[in-house]
This record gives sequence, C-alpha cells and structure tokens, in this order.
Amino acid sequence: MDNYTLIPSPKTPRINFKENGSLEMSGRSIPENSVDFYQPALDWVGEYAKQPASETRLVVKLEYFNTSTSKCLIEMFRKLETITDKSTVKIEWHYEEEDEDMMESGKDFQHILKIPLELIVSEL
Amino acid sequence: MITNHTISDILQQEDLFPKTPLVFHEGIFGVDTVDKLILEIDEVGTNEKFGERLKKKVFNIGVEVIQNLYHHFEKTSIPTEYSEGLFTMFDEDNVLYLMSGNFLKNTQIASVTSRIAMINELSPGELKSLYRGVLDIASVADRGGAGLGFIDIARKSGNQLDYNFITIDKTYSFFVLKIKING
Repeated sequence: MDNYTLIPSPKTPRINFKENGSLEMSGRSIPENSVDFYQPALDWVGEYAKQPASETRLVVKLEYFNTSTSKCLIEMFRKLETITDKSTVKIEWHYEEEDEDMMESGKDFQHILKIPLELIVSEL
Repeated sequence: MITNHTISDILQQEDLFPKTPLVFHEGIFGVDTVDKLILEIDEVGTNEKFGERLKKKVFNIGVEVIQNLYHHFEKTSIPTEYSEGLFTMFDEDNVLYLMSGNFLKNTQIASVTSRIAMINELSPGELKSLYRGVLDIASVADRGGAGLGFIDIARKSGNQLDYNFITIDKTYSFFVLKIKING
C-alpha cells in the first residue's frame, strides 16, 4: 500500500501515515465537515490494519481540534485497537505545557481507549 | 432579515447589544463567513492582554460556536427571512464573552432548553464524565459534533451557559447563547 500524506491548510492538519507503522498528524483540525475530511485517512488506517507493521506509533500534535474531529480521532484510534494482536500500538498525544484543555482531551481519549496513549508536553 | 427587525434591533430591544464588540457578525453563515470569523477570533487572541491560555480557550470555543451556527443553517430548512445568525465576541468589565444567535422554531425551544439546563446542572467532574460517555459512543455516521458541542463549550468555558429565547412571532424565536470565558 502507498503512504498517505496531506499538506496542512489553515483548518486541516498535516498527515503523514507510512506503511512502516509511523503515523503522524499535526497542526489544526477544525474543518466544518470533519467526516468528509477524515474519510480517506480512516480508509487508509482500515487498509493498514489488515497487514500492520510490527510496531505502530501514531503521533498526534494538534494545536486545536473541533468536536467533530474528536469523533474521527476516536474512530481512528478504535481501528488501531483492533490490531494489537499483530502490532505493538502506541499513541503519543503531544500538547503545549500551558494548554490544559489539550491535556484534558488527551486524558479523555486515554480513559476511553484500551491501547496506550502517552501524554507528552512539547513545543508544537 | 425579519420585517422591521434586524438582529441588531432584537439585541437593542433586549439590551443585549455588546457595547464594545471585538468581533461582530450578523447575517448569513456560509463557509466564507466561517473562515472570516475564525481568522478574526484568531487575530483578537494575539492581543497581548490575553494570555496564551485564554487565547487558546477563546479560539477553541469560538470555532465550536461559529461552526454550530454553520451546521444549524446547513441542516435545517429555514425560510430566508430567518436564515441569518449572530456571532459576537466582546469584553465586558475585563471578562471575555462570546455570544451567538439564531432563529429557531418555537417547537424546538423545549428540547434545546432541556439540553442546556441539564448541562448547567452538572459539576465539572460530571461534565467530564458526560463528555467521555458521549465521545465513547460517537460515530462518524452522525454529521456534526454528535452532541459534544454544548458539553465541550460548557466544559472549556468553566461557566454555566447563559441563554434565552426571544419570541419573534407565533412560529419563530431568536435563540441567544452567551458564554462567559474564564481566563
């Protein structure tokens, strides 16, 4: 399968999903219709899940995201939950130190998910 | 535009018109308006009087409020005269507020009221649990924010949602949502 890459826009993130298991998204995710925007990325993760690399690391470095994006993120994370018998899966949730809301969002996902999600303070 | 009643008129009559708006838009909420308003709230946030934390909060909540309006007009068939909305951001006694307004049918008042009243009764811990519960069962099959919008706004603002319905005629009211944002 091909890698999936998207260049960022003022309302949508940079996405760089590689078949070697390195998945990264960064920037802003505030499209009006998040489902339409994320469908190709969700499809890619669905395909990847059929034959994943032995290690899968999804790095999320979002500056802002809207609630409709959060639905797409949970859907993406759920797809990764299904491959833990074939791949060691880890999500890294980056946030800026003073951004308590982004830290809380990471904790929300951490609470819901069965795969490890690590909260990491960093400069976005 | 309502005959004899622009949104500004309604706000003036109800003493809701912001004295010193930092951002103000009344009219249609298409994609172009959404983009313009998002740029404006981003620019206001760069003002040095707002710290980084408040800037992020205002942007997050502002985007949610503006896009709520966009989706409201996108998914409901509203007669042209009721298809305009309001978004404003203002500073009152050194506290930041966001306010939105849109027309809705009087028959929708009960359901909107019960949703907001329920959210307003919850403690921060209960809001967090509710948000997580709704997120856990969220599906991309649903359009929009899957009912997370009001919960997210209340949670991030740190305050109860202030709202009222101004009766316009026997079919429509003007719904005003005012959000106080803690710095």
